[in-house]
Amino acid sequence: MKKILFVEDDPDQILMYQAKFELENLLMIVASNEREALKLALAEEPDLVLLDLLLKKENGLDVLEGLKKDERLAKIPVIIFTNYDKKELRERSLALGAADFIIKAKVTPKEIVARVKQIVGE
Amino acid sequence: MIESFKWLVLISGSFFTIFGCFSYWRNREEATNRFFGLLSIAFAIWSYGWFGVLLIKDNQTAAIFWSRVLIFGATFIPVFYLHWILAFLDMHRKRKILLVSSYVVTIIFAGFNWFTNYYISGVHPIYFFPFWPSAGPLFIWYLIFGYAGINGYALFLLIREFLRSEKERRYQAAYLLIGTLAGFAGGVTNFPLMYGLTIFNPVILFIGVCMNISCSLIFSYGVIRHRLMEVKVISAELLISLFVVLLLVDALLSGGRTELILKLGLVFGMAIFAVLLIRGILNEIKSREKLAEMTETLQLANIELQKLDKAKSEFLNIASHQLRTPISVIKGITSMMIEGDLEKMPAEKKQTFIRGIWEKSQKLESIINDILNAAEMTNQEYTAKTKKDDHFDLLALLKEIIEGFQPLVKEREIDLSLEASDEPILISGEKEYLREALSNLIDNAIKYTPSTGVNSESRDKRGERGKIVVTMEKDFDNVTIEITDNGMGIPANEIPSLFKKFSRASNARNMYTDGSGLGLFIVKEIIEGHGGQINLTSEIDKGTTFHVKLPLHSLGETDIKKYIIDKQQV
Repeated sequence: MKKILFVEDDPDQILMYQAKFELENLLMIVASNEREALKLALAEEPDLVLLDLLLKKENGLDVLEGLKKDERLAKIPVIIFTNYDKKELRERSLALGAADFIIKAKVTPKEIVARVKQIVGE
Repeated sequence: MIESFKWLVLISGSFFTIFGCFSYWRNREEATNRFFGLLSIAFAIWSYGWFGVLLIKDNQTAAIFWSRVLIFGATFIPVFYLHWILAFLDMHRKRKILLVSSYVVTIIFAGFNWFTNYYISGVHPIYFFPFWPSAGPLFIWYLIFGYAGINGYALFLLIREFLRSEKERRYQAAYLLIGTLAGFAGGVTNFPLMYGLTIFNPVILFIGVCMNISCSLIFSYGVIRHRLMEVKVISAELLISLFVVLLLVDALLSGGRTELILKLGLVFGMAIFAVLLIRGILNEIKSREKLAEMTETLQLANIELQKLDKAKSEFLNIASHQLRTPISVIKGITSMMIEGDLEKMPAEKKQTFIRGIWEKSQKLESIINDILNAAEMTNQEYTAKTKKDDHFDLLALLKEIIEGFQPLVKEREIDLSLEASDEPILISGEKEYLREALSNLIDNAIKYTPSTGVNSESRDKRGERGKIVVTMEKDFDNVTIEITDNGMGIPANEIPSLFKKFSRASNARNMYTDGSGLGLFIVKEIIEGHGGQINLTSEIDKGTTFHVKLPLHSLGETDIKKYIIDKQQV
């Protein structure tokens, strides 16, 4: 079973995507801040990271930078999964090595699952 | 050589006289004109004094007299120069003590010059000059105080202005600076000879006088080019008047009556032409000034628009994020319903998901309301529409609002209480708008107060239970409401922008919010629209208090607008 790390701090969204991923045989682990995200990434070695950009008091791009800087984590594909659609953020995310930049409101849970599966090769 | 000196100082004297008189006469109201006029006259007296000294060949008493004249002019140059520069920098009212003391010292020096031999002790021959003023023991104090001290200070102010200012002002300061330096250099060549020191030979001396003249020319150019004192008009008037006077003299000296009448007719015609010409020049200057002013206003407006445009697109980015967040949940859950995913879940979970749709729809509605309200309040400055007898009980409204928040604070384990006397507080205003404002403030306090329900981090950190106290007090004309929480507090640098519409765009940390980010902007508009005031005090990790003051009696719409304008001016 593929393991997905979801970096998100909105409980309603966590609940919804967790339920969908579970139905699709994907294991979801959740982190709500940068420290937790890097710690879980090291401990759980996820197959993919779904990363929100607006976290309480933190910027999701810092998490992306942290992941890509660490040699042990740099290879994990990261999908930026946010509602904050800004050209500069999209460009910066892709430049930092994100695999994709997806706007939450533009996709259904089914579609995000499909994209995740495509990347992790399931 | 002495002949060329003589004519040079005479030309310089005439130039200063004409220039000084006209600039003074042209616009006495302007301090820059007045003091430039006086400075030019001091320069002129100095030049005439030189002319007098150079003219005399063997009369020592007369030479001493003219020496005192030239030194009298020189003594007043620094103080008039300082006054002029201070007026140019609009500092002459602030530096009154400095100016008065400089004038007093200058007058004392001038007194010593005329009535004693301590300032000018006599005359002595030097090079090919039969007479040159000899410095007395006191003269060194003029050099220290006036020449180096006052001039040096004015020079420092000009350099500072040059470095600080931009565009036209910078050019003006540059001209004055170059002019001053030229004047300084010119003066320096004079003084050693008064002590019998032949450091500078006559050629350098000649160059020194030329520099003094060029100093005035540079001032004039600065003035003409950059409209300090409308010198273009002054020169035109001067030349034309001279021409008319010449024609008049010519007419009066004419032989026959017919010739006299013809020539007087010509003088009259010329005078009319002169008036029209000068008026034309004045109009041209005025329209040029107006154009420059308009260009500057437009440039400023353009910068403001660019800022506003940037802030608006930032706001749109954030607003779209805030709108998309509930939409993504509603869309996600409903798509899962359509695909039959919810059927595979236990009933309790299914219920949670359906409640999620409801809650997110509510949130979406409230964000849309905020955006619409904010847009309305921006388009048309909001003022409460109330009738004189349209009263309601504010205490009852506040109790109702607090009651409405009880389920939420219970869930979050926060104490929310009201401290007020039981007496109804009748107020005239728009009830629903005031409900929105007060609800927003309490909602805000709840959001940033430690709780065990949702935001457990803050309670763990401080070990303190969340507490919000609302107080309401009435005096003769006003009611004061205070909402105090023991939440995380607001950093002092964020407070000024808190009530602004696009404030959340300023930093990433502020972008995170459950709401529209427009709440406090709307609150402020509503409170001020009722003629009230809102401000806050906050301490990090201790909490925040919002203070709201509302007038009890309805103010007319104009009164409120006037009140807002007055307050903005304060």
